[in-house]
Amino acid sequence: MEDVRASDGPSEGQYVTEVVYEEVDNGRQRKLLLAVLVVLVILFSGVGIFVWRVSQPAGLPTAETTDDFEWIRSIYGWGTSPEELLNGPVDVAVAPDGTIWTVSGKTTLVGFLPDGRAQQVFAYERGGEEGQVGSIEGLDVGDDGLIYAADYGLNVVHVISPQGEILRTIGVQLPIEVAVRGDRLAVAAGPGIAVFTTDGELVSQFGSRGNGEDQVDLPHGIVWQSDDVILVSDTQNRRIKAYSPDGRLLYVAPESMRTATRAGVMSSEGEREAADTPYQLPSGMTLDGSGRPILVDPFNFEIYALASTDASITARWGGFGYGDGEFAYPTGIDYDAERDYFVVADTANNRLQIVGLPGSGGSALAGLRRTISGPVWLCSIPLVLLLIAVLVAVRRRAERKRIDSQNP
Amino acid sequence: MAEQDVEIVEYLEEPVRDPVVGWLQFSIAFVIVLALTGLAYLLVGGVITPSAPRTALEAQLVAVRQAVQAQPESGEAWADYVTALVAVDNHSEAHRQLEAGRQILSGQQLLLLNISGVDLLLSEDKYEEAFELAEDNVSLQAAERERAIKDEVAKGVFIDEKLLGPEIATDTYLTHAKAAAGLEKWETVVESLSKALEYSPRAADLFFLRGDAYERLGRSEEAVADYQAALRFDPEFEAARVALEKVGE
Repeated sequence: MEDVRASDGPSEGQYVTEVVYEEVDNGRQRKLLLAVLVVLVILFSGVGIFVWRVSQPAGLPTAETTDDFEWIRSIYGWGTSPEELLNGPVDVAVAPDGTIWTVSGKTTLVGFLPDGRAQQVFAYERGGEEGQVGSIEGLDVGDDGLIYAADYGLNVVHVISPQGEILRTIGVQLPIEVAVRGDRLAVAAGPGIAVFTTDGELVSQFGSRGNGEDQVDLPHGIVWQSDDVILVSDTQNRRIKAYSPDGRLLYVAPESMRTATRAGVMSSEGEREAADTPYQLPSGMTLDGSGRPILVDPFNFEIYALASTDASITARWGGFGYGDGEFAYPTGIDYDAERDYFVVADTANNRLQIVGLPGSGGSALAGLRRTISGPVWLCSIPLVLLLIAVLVAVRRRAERKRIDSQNP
Repeated sequence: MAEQDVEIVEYLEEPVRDPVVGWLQFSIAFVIVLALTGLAYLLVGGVITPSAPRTALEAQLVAVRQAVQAQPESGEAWADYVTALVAVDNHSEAHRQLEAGRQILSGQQLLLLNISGVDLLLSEDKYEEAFELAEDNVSLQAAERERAIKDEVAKGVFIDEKLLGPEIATDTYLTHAKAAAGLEKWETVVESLSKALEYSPRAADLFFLRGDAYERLGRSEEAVADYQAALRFDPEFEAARVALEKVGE
């Protein structure tokens, strides 16, 4: 390397004209640094591969169990003690920020990060006093992050802040499932369907309990297909119904079940077959990125994709089992559009499962977000440092060029 | 001195650096920062030390560990724990727990744990050690059975010996047979499986395994009979069907 130095201190008006060239063995220094770089890269790569292999969880699902859909991860709880493991999560809701909310043991609200780490745990006391809950059966989250929890035990829908504070309650008899869209809240309840504003003002109420055309029997799934269409999984009648928000029945799927034979799951095998319905026990519902209704059926242990126009089954995934990628009586499902995945409340397996389904309409960016879900902010540190270093180098080079051009 | 002159002087006073050296230094620093970031990600992200189970196997491991803590006197709980550790390939911990359990348990509870111990050793291809432990198990099983019969007789209860804990007896002889098979002691395998079949006379897999041992001993007729018995008790037993066809050829 050439070292250019001033022979004497510069004085005003005088350019330095005398320079001393110091010979340095550049080649040796380059070789040494290159060797250090190679050793570091090999060392860190080796350590990285080792840590990655060690940190892989045991018993990941095989290709056979999830050959037609993608298993992303399972969430079992927020610790290892019995009270920190999920207990029969009946429903799940994904917040706009990606937080996965579920209810454990009907009284504990738990929020998980997309990477499966627990973020919030709110264990409410069971009771009818202020700040207590009865039996939470269904969940949804509004655009503002507020959590709507259908409390079947207390005949209310709780509106809960992401910090766990119960802000207000909306009175509904035997609420089972809720769906929020904008400022509208649809509630599937024992006596029928109710639509409220998110502030709790009743907009419409329709249906009653039974198996008739305008009736529902313990509906466990409800979703806004659009501003004008509410889809209801009429669970015990084993059919899907589409309503307008003011209660007009748009269609029933299958059409043959317009009047259900009898309460479906209670009827005999022969009656069930005669009913000619593809759903065993239609429960939780959501919409995917392409607007396709997605339904879980706990008695078939499957997830169905439904046609947007008539709710007929267009695709189905899953099967019974205890391993990851299998389901045991799944009852709830929600879709994370940001990350293009579905979170399934795999109730009898006491876990949530995050899965990707074909044709869900997610963008390539969604896939990237899913891949890097975790403490991503940490990854920005080297990028910021790199950016700063590049900026400094560029600035110095520009400075040198400027001076070189002034002093050829 | 004019401002521009000072700039030039400062510039000239700096050593002229080899740009390649500069880039190499920068790359080394960046690789180090990257590695530290990765480490921080692993720690903060809970990747190395997850706080909760992530798969069904890990959840099962948590459950059986809690069962051991709740019932340290239960040989079945210890055996399940050892088996679950083998399932997640944590053999060193499985050995530690096997030893820990053996310090606590005795009698039939110890036998239950030891049976899983044989399976642990077999999974590591340690056939000699597995056979040794399986031999101990056979002796322990016999002693425990004798003691249990005496206890019942003392109470005035009429005992059918074959109905007294048939599962444990079957597992004892089955693991003994597996260990013997590892050492290719096929006569011993036949003897052990015959004993196991006394306690579980409808177990298709036992017939199949004994048929395989007969086949290796060149006793084809007995092998065929056992494969047929396996298929009689489990008509869907594909391996038995294939083996039967092979012997028939």
